[in-house]
Amino acid sequence: MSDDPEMDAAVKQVLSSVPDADGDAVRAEFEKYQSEFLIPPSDAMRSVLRRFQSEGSAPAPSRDGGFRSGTTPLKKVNRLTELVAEDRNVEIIAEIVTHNTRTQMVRGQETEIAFGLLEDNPDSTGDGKRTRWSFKDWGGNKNLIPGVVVRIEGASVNEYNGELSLNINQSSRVVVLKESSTPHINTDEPISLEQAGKIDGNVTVIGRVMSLRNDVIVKKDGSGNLDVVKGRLGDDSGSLGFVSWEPFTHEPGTLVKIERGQVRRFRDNPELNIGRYTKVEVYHDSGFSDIESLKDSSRVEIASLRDGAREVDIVVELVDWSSRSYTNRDGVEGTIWEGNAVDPTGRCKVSSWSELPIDSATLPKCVTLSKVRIGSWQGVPQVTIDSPDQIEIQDSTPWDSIDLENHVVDVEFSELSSGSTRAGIRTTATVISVRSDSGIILRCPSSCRRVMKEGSCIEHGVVEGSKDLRLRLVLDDGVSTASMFANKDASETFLEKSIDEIDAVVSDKGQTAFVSELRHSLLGRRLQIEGTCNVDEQGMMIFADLLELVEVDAVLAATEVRTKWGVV
Amino acid sequence: MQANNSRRNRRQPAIRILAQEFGESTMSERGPGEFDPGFVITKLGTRVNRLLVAGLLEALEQNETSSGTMWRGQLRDASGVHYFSVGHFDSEEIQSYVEELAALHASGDPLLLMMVAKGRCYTTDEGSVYTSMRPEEIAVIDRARYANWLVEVSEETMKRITDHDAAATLAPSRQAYSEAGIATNMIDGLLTAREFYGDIDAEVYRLMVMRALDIAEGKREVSESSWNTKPIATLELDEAASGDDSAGSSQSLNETVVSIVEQLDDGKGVDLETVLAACETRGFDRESADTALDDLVNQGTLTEPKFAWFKLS
Repeated sequence: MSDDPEMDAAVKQVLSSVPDADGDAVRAEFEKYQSEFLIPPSDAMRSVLRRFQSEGSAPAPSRDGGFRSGTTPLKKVNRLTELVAEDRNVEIIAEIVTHNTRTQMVRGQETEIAFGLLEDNPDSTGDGKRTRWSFKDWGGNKNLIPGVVVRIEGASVNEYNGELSLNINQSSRVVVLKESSTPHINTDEPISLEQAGKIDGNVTVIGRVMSLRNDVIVKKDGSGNLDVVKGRLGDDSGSLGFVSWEPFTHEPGTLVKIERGQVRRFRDNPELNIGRYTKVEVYHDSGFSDIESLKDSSRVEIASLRDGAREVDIVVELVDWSSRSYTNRDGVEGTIWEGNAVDPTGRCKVSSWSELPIDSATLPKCVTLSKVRIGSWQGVPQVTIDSPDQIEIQDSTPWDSIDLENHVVDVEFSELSSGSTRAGIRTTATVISVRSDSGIILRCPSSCRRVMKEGSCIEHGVVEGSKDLRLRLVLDDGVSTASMFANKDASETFLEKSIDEIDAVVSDKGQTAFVSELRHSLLGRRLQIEGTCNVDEQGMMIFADLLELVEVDAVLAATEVRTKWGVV
Repeated sequence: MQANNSRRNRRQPAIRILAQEFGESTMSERGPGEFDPGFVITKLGTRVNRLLVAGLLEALEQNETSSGTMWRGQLRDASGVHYFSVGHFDSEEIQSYVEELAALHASGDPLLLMMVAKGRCYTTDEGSVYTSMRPEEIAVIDRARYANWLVEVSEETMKRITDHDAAATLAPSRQAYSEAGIATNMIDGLLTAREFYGDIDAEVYRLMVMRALDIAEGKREVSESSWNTKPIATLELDEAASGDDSAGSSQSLNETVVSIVEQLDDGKGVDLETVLAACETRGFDRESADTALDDLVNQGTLTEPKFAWFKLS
């Protein structure tokens, strides 16, 4: 019949099941699945069968698709004494009294098991008596710490030598109802400064003291001043500012281990707080980088600037420089100097409160900035210079020429999400969502420009809105995600339609159909975007100036995957 | 604290995953907070909250339940079938779209879909665990986009297999994994999966990737000898052919196991994983299939010539 035995077999199988079916039609159907949809005959079998069965009046067998429902009934109790040995899926509120871990061999593997004591009736209601049981936690719940009151869901009762205990399983859920009032001491292993800068809370780090200075914090309530020590720690992963609320006597260059420090954030800038419970001790490691090499490596780039950082040393290429005068709230006139700077990782604004020895006619020129402050404008970090001695003009530029007009830096999507806010980036990711509010919107005509809902602005009430166009997408690379916005110009260029043409489509077919069509054409596609990337606690936002679909040749890409991962 | 919370509740990425890897998962976890995301943990240690999947819409049926209309569907990719459902708790938009899809599907025309969905595990009364998805967004796609997705999912799966295999040789600790260069986003899932599933052989997933790539390249000759769903499809077909006895699943588990072994045996027997997977696609849970295998060997219907390989006596 044909030279495809799988196809022949598939056709035969359909015919054996639906004898009335036309063999050629069945074959054509399989071929359509194969060529148009990449579905091999074996995978298309059920669909083809369904079609021919329903055509030839035979009722399609209704098959249980494997949908089941229901769970072990929940047993919710107030007191441990209500539980018996066979109970599963138990819910109870308890206070954790002690919590320890030990390593145990489970199926030949070392596994960390947590165990301890807990007590029911944490509010001491009723007779005020509490029952105490031991428990084991197989789920590695980090929130089980002494003193905490938790609701445990899905626990089970264990009986051993006539004594009952509670098993908190991997599938159990532990919800903290009341935080522990006794301070929890985190004795984790030391982590790198880079890692420490990404978390909030208790850390243990090892780092070399890079710089130190005494500072005074004026209490906001006017009750006096606090002496603190501020400085920076460095290791091979980077550097981290610290503030010590206790006397800090280690000289720059000393290697210290800091246990139970607390990372807190000032704006976007992480800072290691050394307080009463923090232990600082000299640490010995002859292999640890010395202060000179750490200083070289701790010089930052534009891409790594963070709002709120201080004492930053950076080399940039200054592109332009000009001054403007302003009048402040008190009616006093002043002058501010501003310009744009680039380095191979991006671009940023630089501003100065005093006149600098820069002749704008000689720009671009490379400058070294020392101990400058980082602020931000619309989320994008910028450099602030306070005095002329912070700038040093260099004769040469340490990098190859940068196209100053169109300085766009290619950045991996995953790298963007862990970095800071940056302008002038280009990246690629997959479209995971086309938001329903993409398309034509009405904005409040006043300066607030808010998107109006149902003809009214949340601030200015019912107003005549002005028409605008935008796209809202979610992009992701399988690890990180970003919300992406495109304004009217970028959307018009990307969709190859003017705002009026799009308005006409929406009026004709409706908003839902417009978004649905957009989704059909975009979902799962790779998209290259240029614009500004804004990272904050909410995640990553990209404001795209330029969007372009990336065409991928699947066969070539498949060959690449085979070679890269050895799938042959 | 504020910062901490919002950080934790950032949008979860969509994991590119084939139906087989997702469908074989029997474990899920949820964070301690009320609004923490839940994850299905696959045998490869992938933590799946949201998925990006694609394939052929194979079934889409409407069920009336006490809480309103419920749509249940199946999506077949190069490795197997995803189950999904859409009900009153989903957005109006997706409900009306699924209704539209059902009409298209009823016409019998093939529909290739791409879907972004939330994944979950649920346990039946008998204690078996199944996975299913709740779609967030659905698009009808063409052959080219499906091929591209197959390539992307293959690469992502290979990354996970590589991390899994590397982790299997290490002491199960965060530090050891991290030092060995295992992707940060994989470490937690790998540790959990190892504790829960024990040692698993990732070879079956490598075969799955191979088939996905074959299909993406538009060639499938290789698949015929190295893949095992074709015989399983045959089984389903036989069942459909004899489907007169209204309930297709009335065939007992033991009979099913015997027929699977009979049909899949090409001389050297059939390995445990294949039998269990085949039983699973027919709606039986793995544990009872495992028990049935033991029983059949004890009865003498089947033999086990070498460990975890089965033949008819």
